[in-house]
Amino acid sequence: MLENSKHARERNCQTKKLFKIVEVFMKRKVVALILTAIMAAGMVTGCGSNSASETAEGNSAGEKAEVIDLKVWDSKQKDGIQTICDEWTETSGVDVKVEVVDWDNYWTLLEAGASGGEMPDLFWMHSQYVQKYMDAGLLLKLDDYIAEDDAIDLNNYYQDIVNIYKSSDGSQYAVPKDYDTIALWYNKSMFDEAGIAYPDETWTWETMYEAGAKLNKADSSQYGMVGNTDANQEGYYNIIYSYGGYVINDAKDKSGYDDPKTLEAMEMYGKMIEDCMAPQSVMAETGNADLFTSNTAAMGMFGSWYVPSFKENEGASNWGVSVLPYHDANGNGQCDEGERVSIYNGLGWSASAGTEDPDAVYDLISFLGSKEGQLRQAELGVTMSAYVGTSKAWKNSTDVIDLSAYLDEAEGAATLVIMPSSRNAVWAEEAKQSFVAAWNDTSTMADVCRSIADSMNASLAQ
Amino acid sequence: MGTVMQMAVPKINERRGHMKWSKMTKGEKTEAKWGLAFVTPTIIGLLTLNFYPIVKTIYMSFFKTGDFGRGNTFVGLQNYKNVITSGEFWGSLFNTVKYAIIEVPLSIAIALVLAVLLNRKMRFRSGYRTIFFLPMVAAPAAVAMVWKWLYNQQYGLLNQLFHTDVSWISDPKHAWIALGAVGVWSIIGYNMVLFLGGLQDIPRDYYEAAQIDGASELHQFFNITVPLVSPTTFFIVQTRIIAALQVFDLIYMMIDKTNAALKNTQSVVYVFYQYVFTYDNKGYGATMIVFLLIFIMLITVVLQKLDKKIVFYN
Repeated sequence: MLENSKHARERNCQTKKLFKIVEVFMKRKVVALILTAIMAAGMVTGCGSNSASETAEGNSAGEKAEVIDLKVWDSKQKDGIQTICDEWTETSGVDVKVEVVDWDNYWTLLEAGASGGEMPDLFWMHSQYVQKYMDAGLLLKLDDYIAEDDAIDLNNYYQDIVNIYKSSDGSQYAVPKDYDTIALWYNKSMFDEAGIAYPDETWTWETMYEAGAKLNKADSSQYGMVGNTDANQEGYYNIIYSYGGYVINDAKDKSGYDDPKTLEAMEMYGKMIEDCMAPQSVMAETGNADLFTSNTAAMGMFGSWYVPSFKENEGASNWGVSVLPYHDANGNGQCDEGERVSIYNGLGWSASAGTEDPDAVYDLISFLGSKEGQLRQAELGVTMSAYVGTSKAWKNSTDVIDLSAYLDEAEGAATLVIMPSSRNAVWAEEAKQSFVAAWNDTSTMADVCRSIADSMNASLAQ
Repeated sequence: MGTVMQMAVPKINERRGHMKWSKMTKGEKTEAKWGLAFVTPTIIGLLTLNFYPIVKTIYMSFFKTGDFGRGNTFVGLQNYKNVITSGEFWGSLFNTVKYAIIEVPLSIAIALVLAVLLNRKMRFRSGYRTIFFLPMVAAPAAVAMVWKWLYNQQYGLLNQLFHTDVSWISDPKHAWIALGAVGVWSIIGYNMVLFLGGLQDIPRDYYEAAQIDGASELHQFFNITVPLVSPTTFFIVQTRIIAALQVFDLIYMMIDKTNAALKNTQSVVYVFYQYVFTYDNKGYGATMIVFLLIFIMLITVVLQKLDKKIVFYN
């Protein structure tokens, strides 16, 4: 007892001394000095790149994972994914922690993790990046697991999406998660006010242009449509393929931006930019989605991945969704095969090759990719599912907006073209920046397209 | 008082100079050991977080880097040739200097005036000081986001207030000024606090003598305050130039990738970030940053030389 109180007093005394020291330091502005020292030392750039061997070392099979670390980039899908994972946890007993990192930081983080040997166990993979990760051997090879698994048969999914995640030697590195299509959103009250009929399957790009020009107000209080340069998959790629043009050839070694049909499509898009769209500066600063959802733009093309955020908007009942316009190439007055195109793409579930407990992680992949898991995903309104025929429920996940257009396009109303990409997709990012000049001065559209083609060809030749 | 300045300009007050271990008394040895023990964490931090990355960055600048840091191939000075011949690099360096030219002088001049005003006895003095210092406490990314929306062309407060339709941060002609203004705004408080520290070092006697001689407040400011606070000023100038040349977060947050003014505002570090993290070309990015390092070192050397001529030490 006596001992204890003595100790306590000593400790008390020490604490007082410490405070005293801190006080003196404060007075002397050591804190200020430290602050300035930190600033002067400043930002020294470190691009951590550790040796490759580290990634493989974490793989000690047989160890049981307690928590599966799962990373996604879309916060709107988080709750739904977590719900499905929790259902899996009930049978497996392994917890799943779903974390969201926004798109740009997601890939920075994943790459840093891959270089440093600290990847999440399970994560979304995307067509733009998958090749790099497959080539580096960072993803768990799924062939043997799938072969033994009754729940997964790769023939049940959209084949383009399966193929995205297949390496050149035929191995599978992801199970398809979802697919997305693009549709035309419109603001009903703006169409009513202007006395224009809502967009439907009879619309051509020309019809869209005329409606957009009428809906565009000179005082910049209302724009006919939005479509900044960064909207390629949900923007100009669709019109390019609808006109019969292309962005990159099948051999992935030649740009299609100087193809005459691509140029024709981009000139048409240029007309829309000129007469229907918000100024490029406005679209860049505010973003296409915000301009549409704040009822400032009458039309916008949006991918199905926007639905979870749009349908929660208070004003959602004022919006309609139509299939994309078509290009009447043969001039017969109706939409024929290949004249209406929706770019589509799909994510995959990939696991880290270095995950602690690959069996448990695959079991979760299998659950997410199985018919039941895919149905659940659609039902919860997370996204349309990559398992063919399981997406009907997705449409019913909201009664505010009719989402049929997205599904119709996948079921024959449009030709689906898989998102053009290649191993080194720098050209896609560069095109988004190069097009800024053409958006600001649409008379330069053809020249900008040709110069993009040149630099893209150079980049593809590397 | 004055610790900050003396540490920043180390040649002053070298009281003890160099001592030999064998000639130290026991007490001095203990003191030295404890001193070492206290600075060790900092030294370790500096070595692993600053020096190692510097060496690694220079090393990488000689390589064409492969994915995930594997399969790097040595390319000699190729990256350096590419950077020197790239208009983008020189453009970004020019942008960075433009930014520094706005941020450094303005933030210092305004901060000095504020510091002098807030150094007097007045009501709510600490309240004002806190308010001016607040931007420094806010996360730079948050500051940038708020300003981005103030500047927004369609919905921004500025355009609503003035009934204008100016694209503040998208017009290549003046976007860099708009950016610089945010830089000034966010750093004023910090400079002001440093100046307040510096002002404490000026003996009151000078002012009293000047008042007796009938010098106006303005005269006192220019003839007493400005010269006597010059060690602080010099320190701020030096650290602010270094920091301004490394500007990144403001631009990254406020200037969208498809902003028409991007080419006229992107700083060296921004372009570096693009190459390293978007275009996955780490060798090239590292080379740019080596150039920036050299540039900053040159400026620091020049400033150190000027130090003797310009700064007034008591």
